[in-house]
Order: sequence, then structure tokens, then C-alpha cells
Amino acid sequence: MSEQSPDDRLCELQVLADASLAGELTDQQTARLERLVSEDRDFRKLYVRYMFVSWNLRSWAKFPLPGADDEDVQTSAEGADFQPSPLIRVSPSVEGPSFSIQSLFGAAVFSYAVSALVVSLAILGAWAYKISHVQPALTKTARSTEENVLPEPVFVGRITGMKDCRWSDPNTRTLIGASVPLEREYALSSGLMEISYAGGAKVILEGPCTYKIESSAGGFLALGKLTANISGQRSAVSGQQAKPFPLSPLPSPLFSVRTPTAIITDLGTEFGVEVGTDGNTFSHVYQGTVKVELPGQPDGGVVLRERESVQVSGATKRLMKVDQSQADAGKFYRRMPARERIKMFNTGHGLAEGDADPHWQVVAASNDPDFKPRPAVVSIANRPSQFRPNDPARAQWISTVPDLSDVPNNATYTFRTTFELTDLLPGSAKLRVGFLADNSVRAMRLNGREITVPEHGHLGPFFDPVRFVVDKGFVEGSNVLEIDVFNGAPESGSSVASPMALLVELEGTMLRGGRESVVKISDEERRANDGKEDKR
Amino acid sequence: MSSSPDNNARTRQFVRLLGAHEQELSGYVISLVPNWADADEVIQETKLRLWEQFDHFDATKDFGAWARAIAYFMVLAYRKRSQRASARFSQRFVEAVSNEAASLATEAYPLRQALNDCLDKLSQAARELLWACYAGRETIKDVAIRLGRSVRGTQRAVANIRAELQACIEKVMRKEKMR
Repeated sequence: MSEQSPDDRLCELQVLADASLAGELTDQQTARLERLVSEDRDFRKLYVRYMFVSWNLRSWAKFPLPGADDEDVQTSAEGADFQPSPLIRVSPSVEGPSFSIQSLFGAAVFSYAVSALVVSLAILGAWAYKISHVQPALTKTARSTEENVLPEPVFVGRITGMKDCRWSDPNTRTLIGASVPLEREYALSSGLMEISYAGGAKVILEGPCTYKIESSAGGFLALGKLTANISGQRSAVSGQQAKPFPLSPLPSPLFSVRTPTAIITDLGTEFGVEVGTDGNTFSHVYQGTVKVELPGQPDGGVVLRERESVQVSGATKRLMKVDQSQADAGKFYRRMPARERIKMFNTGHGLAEGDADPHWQVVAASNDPDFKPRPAVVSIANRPSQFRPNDPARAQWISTVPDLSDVPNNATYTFRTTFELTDLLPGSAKLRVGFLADNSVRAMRLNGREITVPEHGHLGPFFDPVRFVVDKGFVEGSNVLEIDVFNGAPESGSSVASPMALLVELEGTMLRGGRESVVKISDEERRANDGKEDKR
Repeated sequence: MSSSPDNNARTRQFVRLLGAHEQELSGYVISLVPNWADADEVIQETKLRLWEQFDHFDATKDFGAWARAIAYFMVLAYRKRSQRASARFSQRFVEAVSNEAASLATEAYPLRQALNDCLDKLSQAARELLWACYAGRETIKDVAIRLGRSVRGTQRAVANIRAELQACIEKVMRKEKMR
């Protein structure tokens, strides 16, 4: 047994343990696992640790994945279905929240019910996904009289980006990295999705929209907005490699977007297209030129150049050039927004004990109406059996005093920190909060809106932070997070004062990439690139 | 249970203690009953039994050790009545694992912290795959089919990520011990 290399041992353990967890262990594997675990101490240690980590991974996976792009599984109301522990609304009342033991087990059952629902949805989605792949093939097979076999789907590209996607038609949902077959339709209710065609063109769909892949160089936009970028990929798209699918109603090898009222054909460019609920089409050119024509009237189109826009009316069947403006340019996403970390500070981060924390203030004390807001102080954690040690590289205890000395009991102290969000994609910010509080957090607010805080104790030791996710209430610009720490406990009896402190770890991410700034960045970059090309 | 202030306080104390030891307790049970569905059942029964017995718990003692002792008996009871695969391991296996898992209990918290740190170090793609494998009750095979990837390739990818995590956790915990 010990002749195995550590890698081989881990590999064998993974196979056996995972099979066992999934209920797929054969008799032979059972005997093997039994023997290895019972007879080999090192293997046993490895096995136990593997199982602990497996369980923790499962607990971790009950939370939404930060930075995950396909967030359909995150159908939460205040994120409640992702909290493994029972949740209560922390009330500022003296009595505290009402609570029953049933809620503990009820919450567990609820959490499993939600998990089951989520898994069911995922399976349904996967089933629908498969069906939607197979469906066009079935249709084609029915048409075929020569062969009685399912034709292989023809893939024309891949999904290369998804941000906060929600689906108006769940049958059209997909996953990042999935291949894109001909005739596949995508119906987004919100969010952004990027399709990279094999020929090099990139299309960003913005929900709500419905888009169908019609050829290896284009598609049909029934509703909503898209941006097509073919710049730099010209030869690949317009050349011999870009073969239109035989069934495509678009005969041109050039990249084209068809709408109910127009056909927009790329002549080497980047452009946006919007289709309204009335079928009317609007198109704006960022770079190069496009040809816009009415369906069935190939000779009556207009050629749009950079910064020009056109409106196509379905009712009048007329094309009308409209004034180019910054508003037109700002209509479309030209690039997938990137998820970035929010700059914010854990309590006491990078400071010495006794320092004033420039990022955290104590702004109120309920027992002192004349309390003046002041910077919180990094407190010496001089009670190692009760308080998690301070770690300047991570987070430290803060208080109104520098040494965890007693402050009045039965009072609530309000701590505040602020952080800036600029160019925020609405609804995309997520904040992971971890806190320790002596004695407890009575309430937490983001921009004045109360946040649901998980149930937690009020007695030490204070080592294991209470963790949860906030995904609502963020605003563009300055954001204010306030935490009310209550000092005192029924167990304190008649004691009038005791230590009060707070330790907070914050990890936030957001999608940055508002249309305007993206346009500006893109134009600047383009000018820079143009400059480089000129120098060459 | 009446909702007198005493009972309310007792309930809160139980919830706090169980919350603090839940992961450790669950890790212990899954080691003895290495199957998601069976372990869930035993853990749920153990929690109920802990609550029923909580009046007998001496608050000066280690709740984790008390909870493990009850969990151990719940595992034995489960083994007695169940014919399922996870109950087929010998008593020798259960005892050996129980002793090992109990000694790991003190490391449960740093291990979880290390895991959190190491998960942050993984690539987003690796985290997404791991998340898909552990978020529901899907097997790796189910996930592979859902993602349109080969089962073998997905198994290999997950195994590599777990190996990477394992190495990282050990490194972080070694570092912590040296502090």
C-alpha cells in the first residue's frame, strides 16, 4: 500500500470515495476501501480529511458562486435559499426575534426542498437544452427522404460570455462554453450573452432579446438588442471559410443580421441593432460600414458609415437615416463587462493596534444622544481564549476603545463604512460579509435598507465569523454599510459594562462596463491602436 | 416546548452550539457513512436526537464531543437497520474512522478556513466545475452530460482540482501550524 506514490493514493481515494458518496461503489471497491482505510493509518487520515472537505464543498456550493455568470440557479429572495443556517430578521427590539426550534429543522427541510427544486430546474434545463439541440435535427430528418438517421448538428460557434443571464424561454437556456448549432434560438429576458462565431465574428446579445442562429455568418434578431463585431476578422468571415448554411435565408457570405423589417450586412465593421416590440429596427455603426436594406429589396438599401444610424419602420417600409449622437452610441454593449473586486476595507486592515481606522467610523451610541461620530479604533485582542487573534493582513477587532476595556452595557453602537461603485452594471454587485461581534449584531443596513442577518450567538468565544451574501441594495456612487452592535447579554446579570467590539471581513465583486464608459474606453483604445498601426 | 424565557434561551444556546459544530459533526458522520443520501438521513436524525437530549448536556463540557458520541450511536443504529451499501463496511472500519475523525475535529475550523482560502485561489472555471459537482445531488457523470463534456474528461478535471485543493489545504494548514 505504501508502495503507491502520494498521487496514486489520492487518485485511488478519489475514485473510491466519490463512488461511495454517489452510491455507486461495487462490492470489490467496498472491500478495497475497507481494507485501505482499516489497515493503513496514512490512508485513513487522507480519507477522513477528504470526506470533511467533500462535506464542506457541498456546504460551500449551497451559496451562489461569486463571479459565476450563469446565475439562473440563484433565484433568491434576499438570498434566503442559499443560507445553510436558519435566517431571522434581526430586530432592534429588546426582546429579540421570535424563534422556535422547528425553524431549525424546517429551514433544513426548506433548504433541501430548494436544492431539489434547483436541481430539478437544472435537469429540466439540461433536458430542454438537449431537446432544443435535437429538435431541429429531428425536423430536418423528417424532411430527409434519403437517410433515416439523425444528421449531426452543424456547429457554427461557441458561447464565450454570459453575464447575469435570465431566460424568457427556459428551453433556450445554455451554458458558457457550449457549442452553438445552426437554427438554435436564444431568448434572454435579461443579461448579456456573447456568441463567438467560428468565422471570427462576435455578437453580444442583450436581454430582453430573441436571436436565432441562421447561418455560420449571421442570425435573425426577432426582438431586442445586439452588437456585432467583425473588426479584425474580416477575411475569415467574408472569405471562403464563412459558408452560409444551405437552409439559411441569407445567401450572402458576409456577416448579416436579419430582423423582421431589415437586413443589416456587414462591410467590415462593428455595429449595433435594436428591434422593438413593433418590429421596427434601429441600427448604429461604430466602425466601418454596413449596408441596411429592406427584406426583398436588395437594391433599395442605404450604406451607413461610422457614427451613423438608421431607423427602419415596418409600417411604412421605409429606411430613414437619423442623426448620429452619443445617445445612439450608448445604446449598446460593445464589450462584455468584466467582474471586478470592489475596493472596500475589512476592519483594521493594514493597521496597528491602537490606530484609528480611517475606513470605519462609530457614528452612534444608543445610550448617548450627544455621541459624536468618530473613527473606530483597532482594539488589542488581549483575550486569546475569547477573541479571534487580530490579523492586520486580514481583519482586526475595532471598538470605541483601544484595549477591549468595558463600555456601557445595554447599548447599541453603530459602525459605518463607505465604498464607491462606479460604472456599475445594475444588479451585478455581490458582497460576501463575514463578521464577529461582541455581543451581537442587532441590525445591518446597506444604504439605509435593512439586510437579513443570519441567526448568531451573543456569547464568546468569537472565532468563527457569521458569513452571508448581500446581492441587493447597491447603488451607483457612494454606498454606506452600517452595522449595529449590541453590547450586553442576559447572562451578564446586573453588570453595567463589558467589552464591545466588531470584526468584519468584506469581499465584494461587481460587473463594470456601462455603455457610455465602454464606448469611451473603446474609442480611446481604438485611437491608440490606430496610432500604433500608423507608426508601423 | 413552551416558549418561556428559559426555554427560549435554551433554544438559542442549542442553535448556537449546533451551528458552531455542524460542519464538524457532518464531516464526522459522512466519514462513517460515506454516502450523501444516507449521511443526510443520519445527520438529520442526530440533530433531532441532540435536541431531545439537550437537557442532559452539561454546558461545561465539549458540545462537539457530546454530539459526536450521539452521532456515533445514531450511525450504529442506522447500520443495524439498513441494508444499503454504506452500511456494509465492517465495525472495524467504523471504529477506525471514528477515532480518526474525532481527532480531526480540532482541525475542522482551520481546515474550513484553509478550504475557503484555497477555493479563492482556484480559477473561475475550476470553481464553476467544482460548484456544479457539489451544488446538487448530481454525480460527476450527470454534470458531464449536462455540460456536454466527456465523462472521463470531467472526472479527470474534477480529480485534478481536488488534488490541487488538497495540496493547497495542506500547505495553508502547515503554515498556520508554524505561526
